[in-house]
Amino acid sequence: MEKEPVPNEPEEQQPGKSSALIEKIQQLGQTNVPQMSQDSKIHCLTIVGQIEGHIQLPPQNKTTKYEHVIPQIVAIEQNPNIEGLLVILNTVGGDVEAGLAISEMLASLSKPTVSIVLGGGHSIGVPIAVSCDYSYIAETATMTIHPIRLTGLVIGVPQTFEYLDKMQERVINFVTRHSKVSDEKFKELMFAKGNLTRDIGTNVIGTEAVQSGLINEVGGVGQAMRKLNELIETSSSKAKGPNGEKMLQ
Amino acid sequence: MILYTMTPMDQIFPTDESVYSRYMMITYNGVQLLAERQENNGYRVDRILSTDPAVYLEQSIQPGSIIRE
Repeated sequence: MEKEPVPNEPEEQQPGKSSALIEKIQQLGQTNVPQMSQDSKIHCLTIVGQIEGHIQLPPQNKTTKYEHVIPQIVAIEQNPNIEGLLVILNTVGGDVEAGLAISEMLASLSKPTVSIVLGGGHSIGVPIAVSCDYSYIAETATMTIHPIRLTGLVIGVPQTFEYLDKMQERVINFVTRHSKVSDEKFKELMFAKGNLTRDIGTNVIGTEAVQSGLINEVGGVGQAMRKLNELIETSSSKAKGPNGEKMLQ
Repeated sequence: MILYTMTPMDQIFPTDESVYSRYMMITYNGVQLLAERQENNGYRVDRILSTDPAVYLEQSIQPGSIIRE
């Protein structure tokens, strides 16, 4: 600061450059934000915190809300300027129905999609990660695969058990259909003993997720963007057809 | 009192309704924002709800900034 602030000078009357600058430092810890050219053809969907379903979580929880994500995916499908979608995951999991709904929406999107798991893609984050055309996992990122459960509630009746079993079958079917992992391998990971403290399941880290066939490759945002651009290119050339004829799909 | 349970805390002690109502969805310049209502009739941006990466670089709606009515 070059100038000493003059005492008794009413600050509210001149919210000039210096206060805007201070505000920016307070909010972002830096003074300027990089600018980008308008109309990005690749959009980015972030799945963070808990995936919120029918029960609204308190505002201090970081959540991905189903009712926010679904219209965004619809808008991406409809907007002709958007050519691809990058899905970034760092989630602990959450509601099974909401998670599967997002997964199905992403899987049925006609535009190229690439996902990256950063940090964690646990529980119902697994189907979301595999729903994209190509998936990446950061080397340090982890994914926990475990059976479906109701937090804290005791399963008392066979009906509930059967319902949960069917729900789990839906998750397993989705994951095996959209990734290279086999049914047996996924179930093996899901019901493995001794990996998680006092629980069944497996925590796969980076390369392990690739080895089991869940995720396509280990990588970060650079690789993911390159792959997405590649997919956009092949899909646009496919739409034109090799000899200019129209492709039926 | 000590509760020995694996039931999530917010199921036992539900959050006050007023906490929820402070947060609201607003549309500012065509961008959906999750904002916290301030006492002086403004909104404090909590989260940007958009898939367009360019929106996240817009200065006026950076999380933490105040939008005046």
